[in-house]
Amino acid sequence: MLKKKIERIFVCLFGLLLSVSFVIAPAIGAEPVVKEWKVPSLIFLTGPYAGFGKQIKWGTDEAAAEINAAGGIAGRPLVIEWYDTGMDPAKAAAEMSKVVKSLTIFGPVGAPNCKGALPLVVREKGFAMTVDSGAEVVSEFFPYTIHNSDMFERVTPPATRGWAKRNPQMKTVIQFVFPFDPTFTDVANYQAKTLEAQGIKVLPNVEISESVDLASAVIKAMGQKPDGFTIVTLPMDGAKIIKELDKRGVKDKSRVLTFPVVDDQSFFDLAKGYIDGLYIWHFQNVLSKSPRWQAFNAKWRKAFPDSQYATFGTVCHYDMVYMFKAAVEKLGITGDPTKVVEERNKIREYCRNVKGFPGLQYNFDMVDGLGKTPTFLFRIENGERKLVETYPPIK
Amino acid sequence: MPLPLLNYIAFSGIFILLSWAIYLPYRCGQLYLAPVYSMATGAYFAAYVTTEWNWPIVLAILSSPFVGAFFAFLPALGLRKAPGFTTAIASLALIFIIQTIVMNLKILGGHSGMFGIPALEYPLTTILIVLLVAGIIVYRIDHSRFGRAAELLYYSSEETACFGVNMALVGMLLQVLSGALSGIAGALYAFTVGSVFPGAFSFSMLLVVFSAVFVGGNLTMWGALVFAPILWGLPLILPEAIAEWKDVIYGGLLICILILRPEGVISKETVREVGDGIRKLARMRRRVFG
Amino acid sequence: MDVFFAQFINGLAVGSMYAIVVTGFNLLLLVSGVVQFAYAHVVVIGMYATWIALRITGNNLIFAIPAALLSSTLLSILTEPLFRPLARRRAANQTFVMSIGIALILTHIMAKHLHEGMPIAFPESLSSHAAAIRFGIAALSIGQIYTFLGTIVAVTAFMYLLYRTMTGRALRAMAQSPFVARLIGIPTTKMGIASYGIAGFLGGVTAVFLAMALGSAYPALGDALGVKVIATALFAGLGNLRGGLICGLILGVTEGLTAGYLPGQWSNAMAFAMIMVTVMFKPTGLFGTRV
Repeated sequence: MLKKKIERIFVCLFGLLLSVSFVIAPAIGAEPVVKEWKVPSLIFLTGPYAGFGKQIKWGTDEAAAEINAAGGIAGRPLVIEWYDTGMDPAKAAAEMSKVVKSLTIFGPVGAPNCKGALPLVVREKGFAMTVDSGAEVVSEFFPYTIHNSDMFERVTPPATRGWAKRNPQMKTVIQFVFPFDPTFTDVANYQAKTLEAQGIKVLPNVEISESVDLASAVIKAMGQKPDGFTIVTLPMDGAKIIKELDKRGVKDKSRVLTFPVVDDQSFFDLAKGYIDGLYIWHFQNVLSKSPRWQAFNAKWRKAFPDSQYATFGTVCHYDMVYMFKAAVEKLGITGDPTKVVEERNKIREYCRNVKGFPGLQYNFDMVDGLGKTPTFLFRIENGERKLVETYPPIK
Repeated sequence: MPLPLLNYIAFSGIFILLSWAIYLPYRCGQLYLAPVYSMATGAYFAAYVTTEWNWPIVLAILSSPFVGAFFAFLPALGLRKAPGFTTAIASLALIFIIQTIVMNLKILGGHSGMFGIPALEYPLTTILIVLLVAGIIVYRIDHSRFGRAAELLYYSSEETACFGVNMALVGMLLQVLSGALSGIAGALYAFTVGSVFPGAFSFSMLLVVFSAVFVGGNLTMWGALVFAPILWGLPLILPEAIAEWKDVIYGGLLICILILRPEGVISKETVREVGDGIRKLARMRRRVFG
Repeated sequence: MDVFFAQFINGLAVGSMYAIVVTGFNLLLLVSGVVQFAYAHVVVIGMYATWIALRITGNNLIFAIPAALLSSTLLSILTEPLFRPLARRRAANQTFVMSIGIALILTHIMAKHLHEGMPIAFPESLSSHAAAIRFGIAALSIGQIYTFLGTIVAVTAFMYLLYRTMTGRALRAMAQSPFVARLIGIPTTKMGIASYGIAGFLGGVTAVFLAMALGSAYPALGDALGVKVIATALFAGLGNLRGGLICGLILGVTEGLTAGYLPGQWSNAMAFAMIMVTVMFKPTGLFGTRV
């Protein structure tokens, strides 16, 4: 009797869920209202990286809020509509199919989502501002998208050379690489080429497995007795590797270089106390004295008290919103649905080649869809991050 | 036809095919998770022949089930007689293995995968035809000697062997067919999305499919047919605030169904009742109109 | 040679983590016929509970251990009524599917509501990564040593419980035939709940060991461990406690050696391939299923 009752309640709830969805469905595909700028934004709000997605969403919403508080874009408010892609190419493609004909799309973010959703953007000749998912991955879909930093092929050498110069005793280097994302393998290759040009022998990469314990990779690396190590992995794996290196006798961390993705609060939380002397290279300068950046970071710390600095993804997406605003206002975009193709092309061309764009930390040029940004080499000294060298953008 | 609807129908079709690919071996009690593995082979095959060898799309679609079937045949040699639950882990291994293999093959694009795959010219027609043909094949298998033998195996393998049923053969056939269905699902995926890369074929693909079979109905083919589109479409339509809870919704549905109605929403009785209802309607119509 | 030795030692340390989780998993399988894929997730939530307790009490270790034990035991007992109707029908396939549903919910909770889904780090006082023992590049932290010893103690204790006590006999009787067990007067429902409680308690102990050995946790850890645990259990033979211990260690060592001598992408594939080939030829597992 009870079982039948429960069954009935279950069926009713399911039916309710279904009917709710049918009521909402017609709202999709509704015409954009010309009174506001409705921009769809694709990000991962579910799945294993949902925490990072939330941070990027915060940055985007923050930019929109600031813009609206200052009067909006050309006098009209900016409304961002969020779509969750998870880390699922199929879902990313499905969500993109809903919005690909929009004037402009923010996102998607993450290599799997880009690979799933961007082919549709290319087929429909849309415009997606995928500002931070790896230039090599995103550039496959040019000219229908942009990226806020340059190809790793160009930006990797300067910082790598800087590290090598500061470790003149290094004769051999070995790299830890996360093999499941093409960007990581590419960066490792570029680092290797640079180091070999400096006369340093680069031993074959140690690929880490998707495992709870990475000591086997570290043992494999150390067995070859290298002088230096680079870490080209996710932040959490990077922390595990550093701790294992320390455990097995690598106390001087100046022999270790990490690449931008590793530079994240989760890395510092997990590797606290084991990173003195470590070299880090990145596109963002968290020590920047720019007042805009300082103000932004103060807001970030209020929103995310456990985190010291806003992430590069957050900064890129904040800048992205302002770039959209600049494009619309400078080009006199009307948002008229009948002119969407023509206006989209104009915005796209603007964003792909705007010069001297005022980013949060520094000004930069866009050249053929790639952001020409400086790179920075940092070192951890006595638990504090110090800026060691700045490298100008490669023309 | 609006793009989102087309995309939804395409993916629903792909998930229905994958759900049937899980349903078939489950008929004889094997929890077979290798459809993702066969799907990857079909997808990469279709991607390669259309981009490197310029095969027409139709030819790629027609050959992909054979590719999927072949790749399912190899492990089936060892797995056809495996007890239900063991197949789950063994087939899981296949997913890891295929991901690693395609990642290392430069001709298949390595880590980056392949892109620039052409789109279907008549997506709606293609998907509907594939579903119709696949559906007919699954229906005929279900209602044949093999289907009945598989059903007996589901309940007890020792007793069924007494009837002279060759468990190895039944298991093999169902797994190979499953491979064929997944192969063509993979090809359709490649043409719908336009790119394939190793990370696309992972466990997340199994979630919707698993739920469709176990919530929808695991003893008839109609469960997957009805529920794959519903379970795939729900997170796309619901407002973001609710859609974020999709994992909890899927998990909750699985738990509730297994406790309340383990055969799934659409059980054999439901199918029979619907069938009887249709027959009654047909009889009434004949009586009224002569 | 010292590289091989270092990989081997580390493999044993990792393998003992798998083995201790498999022990709790096998207990549930033996007694209730339930394939609890989400058992690993219960353990990881225990790790999160430890972390929360440490944060609230300012890294006071005295509260960390009871927090883990309490949360894991409670959570495990809470899943009992969900599995009961399925366990009664002895539907192993369906318990596996049900446990996937539970795992989805637990992972969601960790990914959305606990530390924003970001990885959690345990303080040095609990999980120092300094090498307690070191020979060249072979090194073991104190946490790893505790886990290894703890696993052996846990398995021995369980074998004692199952084969030398009346409670153990009752549990084994239930595993062989719940119907007959009820006939001879064993309170099967109470014993069933007790077995979940015992498995949960062991899960809490495991959580503390893992916190010490790994030093960190993250939402996807449940899935990562869960898959390894099921694979180990199948490899050894469902329900075989001693086999689970040995095969957990074998799996750890195999993973270490394949990662050490083959490119890292292959290590997971190789470990699973080994298991797949074994179960193809010997479906009851290396050591056979055992009550």
